[in-house]
Amino acid sequence: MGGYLVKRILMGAASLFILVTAAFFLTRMMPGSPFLDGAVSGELLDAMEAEYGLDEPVWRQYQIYISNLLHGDLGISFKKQGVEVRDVIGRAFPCTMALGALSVLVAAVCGAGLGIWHALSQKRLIRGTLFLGAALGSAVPNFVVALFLLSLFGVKLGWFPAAGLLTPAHYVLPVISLSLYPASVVARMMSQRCSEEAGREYVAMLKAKGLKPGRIICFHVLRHAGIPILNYLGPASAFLLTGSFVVETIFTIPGLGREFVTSITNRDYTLILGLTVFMGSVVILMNLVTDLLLGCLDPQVRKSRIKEKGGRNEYKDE
Amino acid sequence: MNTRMSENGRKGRGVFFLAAGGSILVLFLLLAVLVPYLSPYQATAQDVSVQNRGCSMEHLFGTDKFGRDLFTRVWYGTRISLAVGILSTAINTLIGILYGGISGYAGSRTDSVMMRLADIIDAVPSLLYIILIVLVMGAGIRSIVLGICVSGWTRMARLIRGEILRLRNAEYIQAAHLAGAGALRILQKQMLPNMAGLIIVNMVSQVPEAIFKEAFLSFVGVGIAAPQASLGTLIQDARSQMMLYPGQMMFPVLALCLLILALDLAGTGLRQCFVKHIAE
Repeated sequence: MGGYLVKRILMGAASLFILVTAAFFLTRMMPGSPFLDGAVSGELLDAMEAEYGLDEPVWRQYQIYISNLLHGDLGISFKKQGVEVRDVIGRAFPCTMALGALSVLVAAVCGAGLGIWHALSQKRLIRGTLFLGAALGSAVPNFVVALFLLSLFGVKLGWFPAAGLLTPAHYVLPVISLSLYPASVVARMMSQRCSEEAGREYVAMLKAKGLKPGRIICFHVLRHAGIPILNYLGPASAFLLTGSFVVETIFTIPGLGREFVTSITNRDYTLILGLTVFMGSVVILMNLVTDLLLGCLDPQVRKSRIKEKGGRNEYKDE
Repeated sequence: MNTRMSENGRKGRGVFFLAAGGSILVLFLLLAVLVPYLSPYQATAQDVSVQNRGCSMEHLFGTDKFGRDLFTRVWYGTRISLAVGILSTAINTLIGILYGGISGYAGSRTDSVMMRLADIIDAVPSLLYIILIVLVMGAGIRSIVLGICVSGWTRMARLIRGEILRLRNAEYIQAAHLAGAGALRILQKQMLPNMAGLIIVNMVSQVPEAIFKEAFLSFVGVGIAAPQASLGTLIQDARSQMMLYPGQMMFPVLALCLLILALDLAGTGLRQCFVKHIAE
């Protein structure tokens, strides 16, 4: 386990390093100086570039950025005067995290429940409806869901508040639009795994022992079928972070995604860079945690991860 | 007996899904390709006399706030979505086959280093890369496809590698070896035909992902540049008057969802037809 841990952490660090490097040089390659659109002329421009350290060679800028990053300093926003990127993240992250955590929870619980229902149900109608629901859930992009919910329940019917994140009611629509896709993925996975497990010998044995189906599912099948779902947590976190771009923009929630989209519109390079690095690290960290958790729970995973397969996203092809 | 029944049922259902998804897909492809002949309007031609019209015989899907014909714009948008999806999947598959092939065939050290590298690249959400690349290279199909391909090939590479490891010890591969066939020839003549099903299934499931990414980027505002319009851009454009003219949003949304659903169905159908082979 120790070796696995070290290996996994080193790989996470390597991903992070590549991300920071690529993001840094890509933002430096973006066309145009950030100050050009203002009415700034030669000397003043030079002074401003010196102020932000842009007159140094790119390589030196990179060194400075990395050393600042290691001290937890992500730089100052180019467009908003005197605003530190760190503060923007500090302010916006709690919103995004609350939304993301709730969405993961909803997706896991609803997805697993519906998946089990689909696997167990003998009625064609229920099976068909659930299958279609899962297919639709993964076919409709989250911004479409968000727009639809906003215009129907937020504006037309007025059941839920349409903007902001103040009361629990504000969470309902964004969480639904964020969790629909992961929930349908989980439901599909769960139903597939459950019907696979149902054919195993231990299930027949438990049935023969006279256990009720609910008990077999909760205490025995879920332990096996739940592992791929845990495995999906890493990719899901990536999906939720990028999904927050549109959902937060549509519901005007002051979270990371909305900051990112505004920084793109403003071409605020330091903010884009800082947010990219931060969100990338969150996803890498989530992947790391999921893998370690899986490694603890399932020795087979641990072994196979070291030896062979990379693993993620493979549930479809097993 | 029981298992064989369910096997046949599964296959039958697979064929049904494949037929349903495939026919929608063919319809969309035809419309997207033939739209210049089907519609008398230009996708970017503005006409102030017919702003924000509803559906009519002249304008099947109505017009937008500049009086542009939405029917034309939706199918031109589908064209862009399909182009992005197909192009990026083709490139991803090519890189994936080469990378996974080399990795699986080389084995031992090379293999584990190459796979770790793929894992490292894969760990970051690809949309972050894509946004940065589009910002550097300017909006357009080219930069989006490039962005998707930066990390999109890893899944295919992993799949190919896994299959090669599985097939490597098969008797007919050994036989080809003994007959003196080189690595490349074995990969091309013996292994690839055997993996074809799996590769196709996976390709079909990658296309909607790419289409979704393109729509997402266009919606955020970094996708396709202004006069052209993808489905994502159309949805974003319609957003400002969503409550007044819901039809302007409905048609691109329907087209996008149906397209993704059709690809999804076709993918599921293919998977269920090939699933026996995959399970083994």
